[in-house]
Amino acid sequence: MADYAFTTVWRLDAPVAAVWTAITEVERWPLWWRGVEAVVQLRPGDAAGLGAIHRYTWKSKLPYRLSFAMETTHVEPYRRLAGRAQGELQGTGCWTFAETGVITTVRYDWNVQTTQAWMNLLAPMARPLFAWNHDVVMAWGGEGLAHWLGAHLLPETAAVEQPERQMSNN
Amino acid sequence: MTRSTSTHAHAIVLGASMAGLLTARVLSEHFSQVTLIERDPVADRPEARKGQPQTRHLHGLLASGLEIMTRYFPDLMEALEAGGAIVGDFGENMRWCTYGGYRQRFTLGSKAALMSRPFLEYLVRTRTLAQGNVTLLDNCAVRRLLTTTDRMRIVGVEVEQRTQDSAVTVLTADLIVDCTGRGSRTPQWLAELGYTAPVESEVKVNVGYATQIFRRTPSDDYARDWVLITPEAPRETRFGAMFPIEGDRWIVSMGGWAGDHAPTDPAGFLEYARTMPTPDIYNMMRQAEALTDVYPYKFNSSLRRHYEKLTRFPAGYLVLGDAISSFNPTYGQGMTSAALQAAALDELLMQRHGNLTDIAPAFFKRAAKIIDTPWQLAVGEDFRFPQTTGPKPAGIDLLNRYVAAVHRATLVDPEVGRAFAKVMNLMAPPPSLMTPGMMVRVWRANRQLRQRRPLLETVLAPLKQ
Repeated sequence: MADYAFTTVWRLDAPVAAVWTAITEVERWPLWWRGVEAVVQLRPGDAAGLGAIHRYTWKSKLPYRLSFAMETTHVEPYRRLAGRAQGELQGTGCWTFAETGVITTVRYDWNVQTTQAWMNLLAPMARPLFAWNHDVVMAWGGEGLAHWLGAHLLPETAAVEQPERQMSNN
Repeated sequence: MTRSTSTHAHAIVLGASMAGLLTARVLSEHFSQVTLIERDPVADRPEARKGQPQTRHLHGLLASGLEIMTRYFPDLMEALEAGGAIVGDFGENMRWCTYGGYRQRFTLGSKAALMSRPFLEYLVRTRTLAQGNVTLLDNCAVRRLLTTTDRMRIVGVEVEQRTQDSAVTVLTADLIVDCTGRGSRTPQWLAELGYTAPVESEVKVNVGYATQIFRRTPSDDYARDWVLITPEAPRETRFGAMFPIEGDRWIVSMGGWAGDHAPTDPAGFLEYARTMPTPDIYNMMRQAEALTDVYPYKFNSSLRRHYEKLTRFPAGYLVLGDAISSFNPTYGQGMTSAALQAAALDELLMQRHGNLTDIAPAFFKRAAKIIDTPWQLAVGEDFRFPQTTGPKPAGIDLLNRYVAAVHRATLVDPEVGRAFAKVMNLMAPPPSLMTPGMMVRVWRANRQLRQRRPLLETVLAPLKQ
């Protein structure tokens, strides 16, 4: 399997409560996040949302869809939201929120593996393509979220690709 | 291309270069009268006018551009061939050297045309003016736009004849389309009328090239081949091209990115050809008779004006072609992009049965969608050079690593070459190169290349010495 690790940072001139609400209401993502085709709840979580499972379908620059389910494993309002992915991608995702003055910084850490045979086979060559696709989707997300909140996406939001990990199939 | 149910009286097209001619041809279906206004004098022969220095240089008409033009000018292909232009399948006579080898030839299934730009424009111009309801006013400068008193609608133009008497005339129209190219004054005019000018994206490439024309011997076995040498960026910065054109001539354009410009003296130009990774152009230049001097051309930046993002725009007015977006010409997409935009305008007018109300946002949205692809292709390739500056699309460096693998794959797999050519010819969207099936081909071809890197000679022998 091929491992991918991505970190994205968005800085917005919006209160953390508004950003938190937009991120946690995952079923509304398709309204503002270009690239998110559908989010379907498979299992409700507790009052805080813990334990909820949602299926996400993504359609981005690449000419095929990507689908995985994500279970919420950690909820710490206005600070941290984490989950575990299962499906065509598996691994963990974690949103971290911080408010400094009028600026909210959201960081997303995404550590996943591809499970489909062809994606694993092609990883040595297609890795930059998958990474590019991720960057584009996250850029859409940042712009979409800012627009949705009537805020602005501030500079220094570049997606950062972390050093590539050793791939087990290479 | 049936006539709209409601035909308007008069349309004015500013600029009688390729975009303006195609737009006038399209509008001739929807308006009783179309007037083309051109600043420079237009002669009744193929020529590069003062205001269009780029037309002296190498041009190719991509397959999708030729296809659209033949829709409006059904005899264009025959006329091109009769005049000596080379019309043929894009992939069959290709000698395209890149990444250390020649791309495999393939059959694209669509014809492209090689000719001088003035000749193509002459054929398009004579056919447009033969429409009967299209008139050309040349040697006329547009001084300003005329509006209704509330400035909500453009109703005409004030033109000055650039003759001795400098007579000023007022022309009114239901629709005015600015096709004056990159130097368009629409942003300035909008600002003067109290509108916001469009936001611009500018990508600085600092490309400089030069062109010289040579005599071609039609009996040479490579006389219909077209040669293109494109750099393995960023290691290489130079490109060269040699196309057969009408009049039994070769047109050679060579140059480079990031300030690596071609010299403009014949000896230096020949020497520049010798630095190319394949000797094809050099071998021809050494033997053939030069018919012209070496003409320079500088292209500093690709420029896109985002009319689609404006919330206020006057009625009765549009902008089309290079006036919206001019990209690095080395990818050959300018004329095709203009043709696609003109065809989109035609389609829009047909769908709306000629209704011009709020046509501007609808048209600019379509035009932006058309421009997106060639803009991304050109800018994406340009950003392979670290010296390129400007708004950089997210993750483009990563994408370019894959694109480099696609380029290499075309050296061994004609199917990848065909898929790439379809994208380049604006016949298929770029994601068609990223399907799982195509990725497998690209991967396999690259593995093959690593095992046996083909020499130039093993794929296609260079032109004879």
